[in-house]
Amino acid sequence: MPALGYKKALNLYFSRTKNLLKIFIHNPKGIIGLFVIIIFALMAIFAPLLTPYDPVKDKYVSGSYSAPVWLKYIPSFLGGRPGAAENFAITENSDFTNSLEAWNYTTAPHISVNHSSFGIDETNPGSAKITFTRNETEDTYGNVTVTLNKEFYYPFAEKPRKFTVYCSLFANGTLYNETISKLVRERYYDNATGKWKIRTYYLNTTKIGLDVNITIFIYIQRVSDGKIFPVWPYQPQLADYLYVDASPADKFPKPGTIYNASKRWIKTDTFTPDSDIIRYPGIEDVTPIIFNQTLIPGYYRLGINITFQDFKTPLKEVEASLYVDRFYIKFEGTVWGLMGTDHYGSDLWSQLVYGSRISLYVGLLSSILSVLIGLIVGLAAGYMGRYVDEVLMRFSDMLLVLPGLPLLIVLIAVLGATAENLIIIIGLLGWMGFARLVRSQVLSLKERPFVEAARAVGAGRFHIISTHIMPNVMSLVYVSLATSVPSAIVSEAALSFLGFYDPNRMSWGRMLYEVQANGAVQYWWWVIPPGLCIAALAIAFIMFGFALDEIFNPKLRMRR
Amino acid sequence: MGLRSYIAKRIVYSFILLLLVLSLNYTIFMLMPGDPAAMLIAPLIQKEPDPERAARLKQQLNELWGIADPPLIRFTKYIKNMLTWNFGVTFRNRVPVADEMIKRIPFTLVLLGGSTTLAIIIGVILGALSAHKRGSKFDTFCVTSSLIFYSLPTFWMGLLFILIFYVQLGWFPNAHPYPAEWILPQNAPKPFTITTASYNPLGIVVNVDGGELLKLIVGYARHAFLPVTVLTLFQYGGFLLLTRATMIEALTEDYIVTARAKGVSERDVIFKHALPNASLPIITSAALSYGFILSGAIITEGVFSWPGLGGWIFDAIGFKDYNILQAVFYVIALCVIAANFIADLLYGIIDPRIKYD
Repeated sequence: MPALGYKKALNLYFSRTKNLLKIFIHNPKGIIGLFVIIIFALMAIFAPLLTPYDPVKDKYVSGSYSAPVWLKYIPSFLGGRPGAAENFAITENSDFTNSLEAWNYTTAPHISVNHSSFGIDETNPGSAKITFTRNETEDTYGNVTVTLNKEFYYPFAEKPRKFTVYCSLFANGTLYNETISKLVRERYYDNATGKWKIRTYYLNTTKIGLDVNITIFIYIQRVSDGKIFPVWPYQPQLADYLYVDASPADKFPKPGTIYNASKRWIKTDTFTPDSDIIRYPGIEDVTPIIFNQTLIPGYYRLGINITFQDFKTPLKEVEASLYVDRFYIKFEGTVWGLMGTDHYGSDLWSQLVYGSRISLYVGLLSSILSVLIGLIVGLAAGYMGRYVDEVLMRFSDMLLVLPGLPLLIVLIAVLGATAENLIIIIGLLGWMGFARLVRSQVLSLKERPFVEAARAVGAGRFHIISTHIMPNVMSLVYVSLATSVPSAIVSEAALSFLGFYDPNRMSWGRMLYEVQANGAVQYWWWVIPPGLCIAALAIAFIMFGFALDEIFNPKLRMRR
Repeated sequence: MGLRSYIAKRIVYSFILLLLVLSLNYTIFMLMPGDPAAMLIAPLIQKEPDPERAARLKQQLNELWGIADPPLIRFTKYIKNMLTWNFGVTFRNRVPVADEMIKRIPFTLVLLGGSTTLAIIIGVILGALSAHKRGSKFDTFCVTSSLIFYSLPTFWMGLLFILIFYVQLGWFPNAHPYPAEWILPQNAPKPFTITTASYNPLGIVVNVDGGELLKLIVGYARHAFLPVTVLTLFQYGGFLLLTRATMIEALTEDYIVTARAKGVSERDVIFKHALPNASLPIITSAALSYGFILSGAIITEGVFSWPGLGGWIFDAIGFKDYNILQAVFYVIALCVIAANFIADLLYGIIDPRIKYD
């Protein structure tokens, strides 16, 4: 007998579900809503497949404030940016792995330019070796300069956002010692008298230097008009700690001395003259001058001038070598990726994709929490009545009287901004309306004959609520679950927008917070997508909820 | 039960609600972490580390602000202060909270009052019309657009409006309630960014001659346009849907058939016969909206650098200034309770069928 009853009940349940599904399929609003929700759910689940970048940790994947790359294929009168520069680098044989292929160089007396198997970085053997030699019979030779350069093609019609030149250098050669005496004034504490005193003495330091000073000068040359633009050293102050043999008035400062010797193996360094450092206030930005709009696309040369200054040690056999390795230029474009980048150069598309996770997580869980609380409070207040009802309803009145968002902010400031706290707080502050709805429903259900009958045969309070009243308010629960998600999603976004976001997670509200905090409203590809996603998801849940409402309340179906 | 005892009952109920709100208010801010005294002293200590002096300063400040007292004494003091409108001074500037609040209230009233009124007017008229033309394209358009605007986050709408009307078209300014050149330099407010803890929009001296009234009005109106529009769009959807729902109910009543049979014009049927009968829930909802006016619009005020109460609340949270927060929450709760009370009374005037029980 119980088995049969169970089966019957199951059959009834199935046929009822089938009927509801049939009605649902004929409801376009509900289908659209569900479709959008499913798309965002898939986005949340498969986020790691949709983007290789971590939205929070991966910074500097490209230049800051890049536009989406597809804008290149849209005509400019529609707001597109045909010809915009993308990221690219001139790296052909930049490691000098086997030969000096792809490089041009000049020769001069006393100088030889060779390929060397020595590599400044351990992973890639090979470098260009420029050597100056003079034997002991000769007097000092003076300045001698050679150049090593490579021609490349800049393929875009617009200037890059910035460029960076990388170069590793290593100097080596014969040395000379020089002793320098320096007068030192020092304040010291005299133990005997207990007073501070001043003493002076000479301090001798031995300075070891190369017999031949090596100075370098990295430049970009425009092939079309032959103009040379210094990349490093660009301004005297910048190279001050080195030595610049130029007065500030010179348009193009002369090469700086880069290496002061202190050991036999003198010094190795990688430096990155970056067009960004030439953008300090008062210094003109060279990028638009070098990559002049009227002259690109076009041919350029990336080169290094090496000057050997042989003055110090006449009548001595001297040798000085400079190894050049990893010498290349990297361009940061103004367009990148599906959605461009933010101020840190992080991928906006990955932020958008991962943002769907927290919206769904917080939205769904907090709405479940608030519906659960509302259900319990509503059932208790409606069925128990009297004092329980009065206390619970006054409590909900009190919460309704306090301003919603400020209260949320205060509580999140108290508890700390993590996703879980957001869920708890939004859930705890969103149950009042639903509790009232359930209460009014229960008040009318309580007086129905079937409840009275159950009470008459001696059914307990818990039994009546769970088997007679609960099933009749479940349709309200489903509808309210769907319709309370949007407000939870928007609340989460609002809190994130105000800066109360979980620092380990990216959310759509946080993306807009960054827009506001960085004054980046003009970048529409950064402003529009997150808000559109919030709105789309919220509207999808509202539509889905309305569809459920129509299914569970046949009266509404007639009316609309 | 007569009207008088009903009013008496409502007054008692409102008073109990007020006390409940006050105690909740007190509890929340008691629990807030962070030490305002420590925050104020921190820069002094940084310059010259001296733990003894720091402790002394902290104690003095706590005594000054009354934080050092035991909780129960603080609670009774707090209730007394709130009821006697004595909100104390702000922790940071030591300006009386009530004074500063009064300076900021006009800005919020203009923003929220204007947009709420506009939203109610637009929402009720469109809602009534769309209920009348139920199922038509106009109805679908009204319902869809109100749903969309209702679910768009206000901060996004604000940013979008700035993008379109300030960055692209340049028709409207993007921030502040008046042009920047009206502000004397020493009082110029700092640009509002959400990261900075505070900005001081008060003590503004508007530098416009009285004769140029038109210029004054145009300046204010241009600055208020975008935020008011955002808030109106955000709010009208709710009123539209509510009006539509109640109007659909009301338009099926017998007296509407009677009115139509009498030959009353369709406009009068909608606005004179159906709308007043459908207006009870709308009035409750409107009263609640007006009650919450003073809570400001934290987000919209933030986006548009509006020196109202919302931005003040946000700053106060950042600085843990619970004198401000307690006062503002109290005043808001007071307004909401009063608005509810008034709405309850209005019921009787509008709908004589209501029995007070």
